[in-house]
Amino acid sequence: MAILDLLKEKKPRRPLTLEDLERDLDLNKDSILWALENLAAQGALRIEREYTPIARLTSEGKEYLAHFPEQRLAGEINKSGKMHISKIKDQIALLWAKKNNWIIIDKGEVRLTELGREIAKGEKRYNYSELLAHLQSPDGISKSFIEKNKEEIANLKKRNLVEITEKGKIKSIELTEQGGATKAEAGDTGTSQLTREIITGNWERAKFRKYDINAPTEELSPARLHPLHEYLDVVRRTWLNMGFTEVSGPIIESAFWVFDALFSPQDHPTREMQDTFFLKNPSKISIDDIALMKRVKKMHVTGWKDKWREEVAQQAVLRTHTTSVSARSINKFANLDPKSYPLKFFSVGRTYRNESIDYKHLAEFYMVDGIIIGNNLTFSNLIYTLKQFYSQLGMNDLIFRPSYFPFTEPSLEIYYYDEKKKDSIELGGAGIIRKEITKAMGTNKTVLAWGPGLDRLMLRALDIESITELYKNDIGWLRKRPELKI
Amino acid sequence: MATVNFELKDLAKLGVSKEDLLYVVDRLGMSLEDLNEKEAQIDITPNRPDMLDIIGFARATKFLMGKNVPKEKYYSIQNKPILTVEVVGRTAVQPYIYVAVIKNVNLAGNNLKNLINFTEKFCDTYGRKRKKLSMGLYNFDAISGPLTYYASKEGTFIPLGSNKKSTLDEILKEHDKGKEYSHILDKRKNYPVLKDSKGILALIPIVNSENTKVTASTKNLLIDITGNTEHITESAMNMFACTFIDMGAEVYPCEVVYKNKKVATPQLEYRTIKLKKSKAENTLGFWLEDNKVINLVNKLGYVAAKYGVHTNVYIPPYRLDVMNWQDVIEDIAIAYGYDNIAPMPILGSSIGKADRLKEYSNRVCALMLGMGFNEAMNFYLTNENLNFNKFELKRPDEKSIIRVAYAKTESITMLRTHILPELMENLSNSVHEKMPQKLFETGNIFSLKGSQVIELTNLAMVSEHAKANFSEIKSAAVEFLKFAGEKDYSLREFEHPAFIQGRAAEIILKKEHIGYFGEINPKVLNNFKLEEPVVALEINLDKLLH
Repeated sequence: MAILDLLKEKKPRRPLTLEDLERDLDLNKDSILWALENLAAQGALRIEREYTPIARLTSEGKEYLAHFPEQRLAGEINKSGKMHISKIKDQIALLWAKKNNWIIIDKGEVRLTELGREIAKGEKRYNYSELLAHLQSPDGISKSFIEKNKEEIANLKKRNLVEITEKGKIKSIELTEQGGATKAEAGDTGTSQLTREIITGNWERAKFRKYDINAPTEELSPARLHPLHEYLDVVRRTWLNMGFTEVSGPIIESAFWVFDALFSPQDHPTREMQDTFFLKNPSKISIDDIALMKRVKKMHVTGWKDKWREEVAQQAVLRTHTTSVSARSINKFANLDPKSYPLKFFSVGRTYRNESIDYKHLAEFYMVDGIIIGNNLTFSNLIYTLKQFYSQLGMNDLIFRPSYFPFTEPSLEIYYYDEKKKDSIELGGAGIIRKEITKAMGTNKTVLAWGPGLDRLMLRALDIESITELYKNDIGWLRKRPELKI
Repeated sequence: MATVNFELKDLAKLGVSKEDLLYVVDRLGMSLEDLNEKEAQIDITPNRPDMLDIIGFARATKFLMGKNVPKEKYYSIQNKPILTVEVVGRTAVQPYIYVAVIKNVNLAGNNLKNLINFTEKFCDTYGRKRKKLSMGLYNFDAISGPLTYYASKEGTFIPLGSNKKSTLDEILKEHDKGKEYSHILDKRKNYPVLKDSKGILALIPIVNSENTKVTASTKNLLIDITGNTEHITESAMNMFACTFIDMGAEVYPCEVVYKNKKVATPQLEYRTIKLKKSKAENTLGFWLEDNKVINLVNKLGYVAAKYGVHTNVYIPPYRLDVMNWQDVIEDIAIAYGYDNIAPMPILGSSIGKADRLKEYSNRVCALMLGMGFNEAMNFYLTNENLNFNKFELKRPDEKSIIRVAYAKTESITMLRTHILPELMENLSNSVHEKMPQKLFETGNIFSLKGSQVIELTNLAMVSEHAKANFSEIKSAAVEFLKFAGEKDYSLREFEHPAFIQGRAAEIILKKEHIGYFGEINPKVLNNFKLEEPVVALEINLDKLLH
């Protein structure tokens, strides 16, 4: 039962305590305290607290429990009867021993007074030592005790032996008028909560009390999907609406599917450890389709006029783009019944780059990839398709510029002009898959392809600055997460 | 992608204004990163190394603006070879060498600086940081031929920037360039060396000799390019020869004598690509008027002539990226202007279809929300400490873990084998938030069985609050299995170090373990600095999707 309802219903004669609430509510103490703070901040509740002083010994204070340094000094002097001042290293002990009238200093010689001797022998207790022991009590101390020993406690605080704080304990909880909400207007004694009895009984005669609709209510924490998931679903639905079939593929891939099948030369800089996650375990993934591999090898040797090594293609990597899924689809679906074309595929998935993680860079992020396989497909068909996709995400001002990727020709880069930021934002690349590749995959079809990242779109849709926020999964953020704007 | 800085006054001398930059750079597919009063910073895509050169850049810019477009083949070499280079044996790296002599070159003003910037950017990108290709410039007047390119460990010379003779090994150890590039050479083998009749000119691909240093007042140059394949070495030399011709210098070839052949370098031939107009139209999706093809390819620097239905496109020798007709068609599109291409819909209808596992996992998510669990999405990349140690699990056989070879981020060593530790970490990061805290995640987990990589999709959920207990998580498990349509499962007592003994169960379906749930052990709670009870479940989804 919610706190406000409980207070309203009980109409308690006395203000409730925290214990009352714990007893009557099916909530743990932390949750109740949270809710109370929240309601008090809204002005629905008045919370009175009782403050108890709490003393806490510092680590030095705890050491002093056995002996204060001035006590130790008195003991040392007592053993030898006197001590030359130059031999006393601990100036603080000397200062306090003098202040306490335990010693007298005469021509550089330090001797104990009568009081000092009693202290040294343990015949008399040291008041500060006793005070420290008392303050250590875990039950807290009374205000009057602090008042009585004000000066001495101040000295202990000055010596950094003790810290005094106050602990506020909830003493009483009361509804404010605002929180009451059901507060009866003068002379009004109508019904508050509608009940089964009233509904099934004489409801026509019932008088309902008027509620203050502006009265505060409790904050809920509804369970939600992760905003990234919501956004990915928007992207998926858009492609589905455009008649595309969703495909997926492995995250752990051979370099063959990530690079070689896409005509990326074996000495390309992105194929270095600095950019790509290579795996130690498994270190290689064999390529099953030997005929395909031979065709890909020929493509490289002819195109790049350089040697091509199977070992390099077998290296196991975390895919750097979902274009590896597209490459697999081209190979798999390029030779079907001629009537089945055009075929349209998309995939959304995680991709990896070996980055030092900071607010701008992640090692793991999402990409979307798409292809259309068919006859007589053109560059202007590609531009049409991309325009259609982005317009469904609310982006109409697209700019297409030439670009370069080893696997497409012609290639383009998609930019979006952001009115708010007065800047064009790079969304990703696209192009017509090179004939060398489709030929190696065993088809004479044309393939249009694109593979934009989703990060920039996400930041825009959620209006957030840093992409790392998305993966923290702090439950507070998940509960108060920004809403998608599409 | 390489970034170049060009001074505006140098560009102006070459006929390129600030306004030209604003118009052309994007349209050529490059990007203008910065433009101030003094200079322009431009990103050049890797297919156009000729534009890393201020002269090549100005050339391409002017052509696209329609200025001095080439009508006939311009670059050629008329001169006879004036120097011989004998190649003795075969060097372990960069066995191919091309050499040319450049006479009456003007290196005053910024010309030398620009030329050196070009060679450095080119060797960094196209030359793969000198691993694949490297080059050197020498004062030709300080050289006496013939030259010899050979492999050796012996000999001394004064490297650039030094004043004393050093042995080859000393240079590799002590000279700045030696330290930077010595990894390219195999220390057990002989090094590639270029010498003239007087002494060593260069330790390749490391450093040249101080005696042949080029300055702004140098009039005659020798240029050498060494590479791992004959093709890239030749192409690079052609490209540089075009730059020198554009600078108004005279290019003299050299004869390279291998054991079994002689090559005069450079040759500056235009390759020919035959292109049918209809091929361009069918690729791009718009019609081109009869003479338009020639018109457009001219704007990208090609020379062209029409022969019946074909157009012969001649590729200028400075273009290293043009493999075949596809590349020419892209340039036609660039000259036409991407902005001018009318989008055309694709004919034929198709029906979209979602991935089954994704749709299933979405329905699971809906169920979890109904039970009051918030969705989390964590990285698949993790480390042993989180994945195993904090969860009190013994590390399994190393051969069953997917492990990365090297990560720039220290906390990344492997792919996760289960989801729960990451959800526990999420709770750990949320201790100051309101209770109860309930999280779930659906996502991939990874393992290796023999040489078989296994990627599975799991569901995991955690619930933390003062009264969290076994019954709560069992109810959730039973509810989930009901949703999954499974009646023939059984529960078995389960021992797992992360759970309290006697308060954990495994779910068995068709004799197979598919998941487990229970109350998390206080030791694990302490590992994650959690102070309230937590109950948890993890189950595989692949096996439930029939």
